[in-house]
Amino acid sequence: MKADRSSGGGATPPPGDAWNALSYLLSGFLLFGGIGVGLDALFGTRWGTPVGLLAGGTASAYLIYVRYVKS
Amino acid sequence: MTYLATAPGGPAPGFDAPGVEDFDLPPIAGIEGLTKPVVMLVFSAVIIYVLFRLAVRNPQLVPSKGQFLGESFHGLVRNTIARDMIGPEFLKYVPFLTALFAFILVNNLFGIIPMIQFPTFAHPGVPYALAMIVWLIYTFVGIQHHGLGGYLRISTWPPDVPWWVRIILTPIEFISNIILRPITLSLRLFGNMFAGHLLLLVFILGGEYMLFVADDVALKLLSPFAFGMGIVFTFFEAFVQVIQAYIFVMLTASYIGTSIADEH
Repeated sequence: MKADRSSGGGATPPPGDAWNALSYLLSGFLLFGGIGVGLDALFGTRWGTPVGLLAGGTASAYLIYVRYVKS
Repeated sequence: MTYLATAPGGPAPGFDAPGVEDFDLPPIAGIEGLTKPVVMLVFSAVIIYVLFRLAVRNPQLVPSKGQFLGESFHGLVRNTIARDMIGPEFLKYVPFLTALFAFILVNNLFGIIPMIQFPTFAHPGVPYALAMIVWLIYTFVGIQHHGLGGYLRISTWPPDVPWWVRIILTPIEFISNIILRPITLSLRLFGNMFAGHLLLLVFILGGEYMLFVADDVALKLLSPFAFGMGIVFTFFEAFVQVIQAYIFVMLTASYIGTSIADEH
């Protein structure tokens, strides 16, 4: 985020920022895993939770890529 | 945590491994809610106040030893944490960050100071309270700088992605940056202090058990190794305690910096 302020591309983000990757990762699992658990409880299926966890993990990893690598 | 009690140890009573219950200290003088960590929190505030007061009592151009130490401490927070993490407006936040660093550092170091030997932050309620304060501050300055919509935008709007990806990523950002941040911030500090104290308890109490309670001569002879490990890990804990105090303050500064960063 703050690295964006410098004009040149490829500026390294300040070291503190990387610590947020952990909470990004947790958030994805929590959100989509939670949605999966909810859907399973609603429809009586069993595959919603693992699919949700995988989707959440993937989304988190992509978000970390967008936030730290791409920008 | 009593499963070790069944370990073979002869007729002597088994070793009761230390556990969560060792962190529940009894109230002092029968006053409900007045426990050792509470006293330590107040004590730490007094220590910090007195030390900083002494450091700036008689400021000189050529500083005395005390003034030099106080200024170095302040300079460390200002130069290596605040300026790097917050950016041009860092000066306003230096007093808060310095006080926070001093408070966490002293309370962590209580964990290895003889006769005190309990890290206050091994009780999760204390770091929760600090993280709440930090959360209020970085949310407030963020809204102050960008307005509510602008603040939500910079903290939950991933840059340069298609709109349908944003639908997926924005809720994650929201949970991560608005809800989980203070929790991970406090749990990191709590976990390190809790685990460190438990580790020391295991080695010291284990050594005590081996030396005084166990019947086995071999255990008695081996007990110096347990005490030795206890001493080694005490030094290791000193390192962890300083690092964790630093990380907590560094992340606080980083969150404030992110909150007030200009939009791109």
